[in-house]
Amino acid sequence: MKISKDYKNWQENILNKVLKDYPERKKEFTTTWGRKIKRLYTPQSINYLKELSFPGKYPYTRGIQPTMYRGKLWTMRQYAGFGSSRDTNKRFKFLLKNGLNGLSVAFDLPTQIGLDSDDPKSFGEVGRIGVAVDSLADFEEIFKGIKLNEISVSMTINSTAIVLLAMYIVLAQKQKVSKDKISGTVQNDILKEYIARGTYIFPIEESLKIVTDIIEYSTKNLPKFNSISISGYHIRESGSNALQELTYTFANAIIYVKNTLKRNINIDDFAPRVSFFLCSQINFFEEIAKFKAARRLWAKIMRKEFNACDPKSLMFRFHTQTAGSSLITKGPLNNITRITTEALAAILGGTQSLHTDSYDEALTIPTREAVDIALKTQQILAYETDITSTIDPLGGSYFIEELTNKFEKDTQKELGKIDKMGGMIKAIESGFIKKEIEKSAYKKYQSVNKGEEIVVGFNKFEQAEEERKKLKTEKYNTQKEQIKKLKNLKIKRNNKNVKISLKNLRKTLKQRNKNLMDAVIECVRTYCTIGEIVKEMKKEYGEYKNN
Amino acid sequence: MKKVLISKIGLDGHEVGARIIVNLLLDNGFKVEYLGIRQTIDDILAKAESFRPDAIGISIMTGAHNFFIPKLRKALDTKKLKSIKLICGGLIPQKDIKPLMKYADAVFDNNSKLDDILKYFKECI
Repeated sequence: MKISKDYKNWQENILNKVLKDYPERKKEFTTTWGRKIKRLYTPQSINYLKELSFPGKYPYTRGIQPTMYRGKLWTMRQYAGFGSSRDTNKRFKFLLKNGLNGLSVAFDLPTQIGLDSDDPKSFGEVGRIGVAVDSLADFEEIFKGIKLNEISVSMTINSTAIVLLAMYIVLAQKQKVSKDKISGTVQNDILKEYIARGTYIFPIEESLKIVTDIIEYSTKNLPKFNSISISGYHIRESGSNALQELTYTFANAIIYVKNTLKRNINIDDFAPRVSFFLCSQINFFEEIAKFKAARRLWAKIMRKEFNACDPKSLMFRFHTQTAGSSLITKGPLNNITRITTEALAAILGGTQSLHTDSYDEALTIPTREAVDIALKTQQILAYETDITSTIDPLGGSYFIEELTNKFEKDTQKELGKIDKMGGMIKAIESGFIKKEIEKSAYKKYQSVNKGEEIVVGFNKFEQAEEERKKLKTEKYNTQKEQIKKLKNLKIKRNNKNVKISLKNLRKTLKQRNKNLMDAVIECVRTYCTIGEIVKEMKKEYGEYKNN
Repeated sequence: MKKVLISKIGLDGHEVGARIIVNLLLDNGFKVEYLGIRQTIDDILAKAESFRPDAIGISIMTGAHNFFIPKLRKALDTKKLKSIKLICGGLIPQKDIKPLMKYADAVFDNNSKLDDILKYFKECI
């Protein structure tokens, strides 16, 4: 009550006088999804015990652990991979030497889409945006000299996640690392492929079956492994606003949870190993509010909708990547400023794991110099600043807490709309979700075009050509190398065993409800190529037809 | 009405840019068809033969432009579609732009302004 009176007083006697002669820079300051950002936030915005509570306690707004970074820092996990397995092994070792504490593998498009390097459809793409993996032989080489019980590995792989996970399991066996020590993540989030990322292979229902096979297998056999990383990053990068990013991530998550429950797996058996992957864009405070809203909303959904009891089932654990689309090639060193701001938001938002982009990633696969700066950015934030000295340092910020509340409310509303449409799968199949993202993307780029949204160095404060640092790009001859490797592999391997394992896979595929994991592991073990394995799956499942 | 065919080529699934150009051209009086992702040279040729566009815009974000654009231009010429202008957009390093202009009529890298792209289509197509 007292604040209201003083607030009104301040507005009438101090604020309005200044506004008369010095209007604000913009008519409206808004979030990316159009919510007005208020001039000032006050304690009236917050209901502490209900909305914030304590870290490590439901609804986890302030963080999922009671000590957060005072106990353990986020994992510094740089996404890396390009060229051949040898090139990638070299880059991994470079990063590990420089303090990386979690690996994250980028695979090339043929590998992600189930094509071998000698497939005509792969030409021009082999080893370009990630490492080329045709068989277990390549996978073994990627991890040469790296022990799987000493580091956790995240693999950004979706349609062919079952094959890469099988490779990971077989490699661990060869390294004599037991299944209960295997630590890592497989992205395995097929739904976002249809709406944002585009590396789908099979139709939706069949793909969802494979996703659940992986979750089921992992729940029973790999206690330290995250069988899914439900992603909003790519949705955001394809042009959505922050509200759409969170809404569609959660809508997809709900499908995956429901599908797993259908197999009579207890929620508390698999939910603790469900993880997420979000974007950190340049809208600093909005992003922090997004991370907090995500934590609180997920906890509520898990408890209220799915009756999860284990606290671990209620914790929104996530990896963050700084937004690639916020980077430009004009004045690339300025990207370091952008990336640092975005990394800071992720840390203040309580992320469990972080990838910082390299400044040259606007144009190319990161060079050594650039990726080292990216990693050191995290290390400087972690070790030189005091941002990890207290938990949720921005907790109680009137602005952030009110924005978090609005974010949560708005996300719930949007999820309700999708429900009314008949659910997320219908919304995806009808093309609705893609259209919504496209609308946001077009709006955003029109706004940049008109100069309403400013990108420094691009549409304002542009530099002359000569003053710009030129970015280097590197060339890889991976295609030739891979084709040669494949020829040799097919000679050296035991082709009788290959035939047997593929036949067994075929048989398993026909038993529509049987989990594919064991059959795929055997194929991988006999050095079947990804193309050979996926060919069998295509025969049974068909391919997704995109309109 | 001028006709434009927009497509992605190869395995690249990043289509935000392509879709923005589609919308931009539709909003400015062009007749536009968008083929989508994972189109092969044959797919694009087939569409070009039936749709008969004045220009084809290809979006490539994975660095495979030096591989695909020359091949596409040659394929179009072989199929007697020489008059169709070929425009390439995407993540194109500066050093690749001039060599690419041997095969493409225009190249728009990620520093291009929407206004300039629209201007080109309005004046040159």
